[in-house]
Amino acid sequence: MMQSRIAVFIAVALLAFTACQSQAKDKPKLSIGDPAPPLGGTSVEDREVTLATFKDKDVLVVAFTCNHCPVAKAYEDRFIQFQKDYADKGVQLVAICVNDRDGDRLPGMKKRAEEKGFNFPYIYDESQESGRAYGATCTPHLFVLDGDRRVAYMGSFDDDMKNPETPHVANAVDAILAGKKPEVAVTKQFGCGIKW
Amino acid sequence: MKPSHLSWRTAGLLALAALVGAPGCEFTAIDGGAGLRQGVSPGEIELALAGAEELAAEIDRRRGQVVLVDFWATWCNPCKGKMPHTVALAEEFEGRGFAVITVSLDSPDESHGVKEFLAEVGAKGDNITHFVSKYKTGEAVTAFEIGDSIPYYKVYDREGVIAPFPIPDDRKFSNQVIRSLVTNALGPNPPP
Repeated sequence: MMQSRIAVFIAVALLAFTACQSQAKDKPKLSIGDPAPPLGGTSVEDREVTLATFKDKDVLVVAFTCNHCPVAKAYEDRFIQFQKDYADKGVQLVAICVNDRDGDRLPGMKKRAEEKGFNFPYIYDESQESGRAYGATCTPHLFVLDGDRRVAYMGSFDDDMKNPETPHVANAVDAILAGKKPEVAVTKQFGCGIKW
Repeated sequence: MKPSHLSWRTAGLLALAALVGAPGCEFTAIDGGAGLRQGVSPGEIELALAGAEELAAEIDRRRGQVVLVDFWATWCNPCKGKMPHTVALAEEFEGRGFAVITVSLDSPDESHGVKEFLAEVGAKGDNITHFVSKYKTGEAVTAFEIGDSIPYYKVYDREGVIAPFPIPDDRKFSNQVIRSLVTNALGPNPPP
């Protein structure tokens, strides 16, 4: 009788432990104000790219994305429009894919970038280090870096996959350009899980 | 001329094969695909608008049963690939006090497409309830507390307590794991 009680206690403790672990994994890796972790990879133009590549830009919008995910694809036109709108304001959107998945690697990315006419760098990080460093969890997952390359916003690009009303990233970038802190600095990202 | 039973099943299986074989789908095999109900029309699928409160109320209403909540969307191929398994579980364990609630993250104006798919996989039964999220996608993940992506599943025991999924995350929602959480919550099969 005592043994079965101990067994039940251990089982419950293990369950509680794993539940806590799962919750811990839902917390963002970075905090607002953190220095931006390193980021790098090979662009669809076969150039090696790091954060330093964009040192002359005031604001960087890092978008973890990929080719296959319907959510990421729903945002491609919005990324293109955003870059058009903000290019002459010293803002650069940088798209990066870290997925270990056929179709999401550099050859597929080159094809997609050409098909859609991406007007921003699209980088593949085969090591996936960039994704781990930022705590990217899904595609798309956005991080806005200010002029000091500190994390000023993280989460989703806007509030809805189909009919957006609140452009979170644009609002955050506007605030930073005006010398302020974004009113909404963290939102919940949503998309397809990153393929580690 | 009435189609034969065999040709309906074949048509159903071919439709499923087309769905799961669509480009970009991660799941190429459906396990637990037995027992698909045939001949369900989209008009027979009842779909209600729901937020976190409505979902919690429905789970509460089914206190005493084990409840599996399946979060999905018509644009999520892996989710669609796994729906037949969810439906199969609903049929298999109906008699032991088990219920399934599906929550689609499609926008409500896509309800027709939602019903169409649910009909295709025969997702109709007394122990199956269908919801479509009333939220924008950004709000939905937070309101429903489903991390940041779908497919996502929650299993509630007969006391309404959520059963945690074991890690690692990659295999978190495999059909085998979902099945084992459900059967654990159901408890031993009562003797005949």
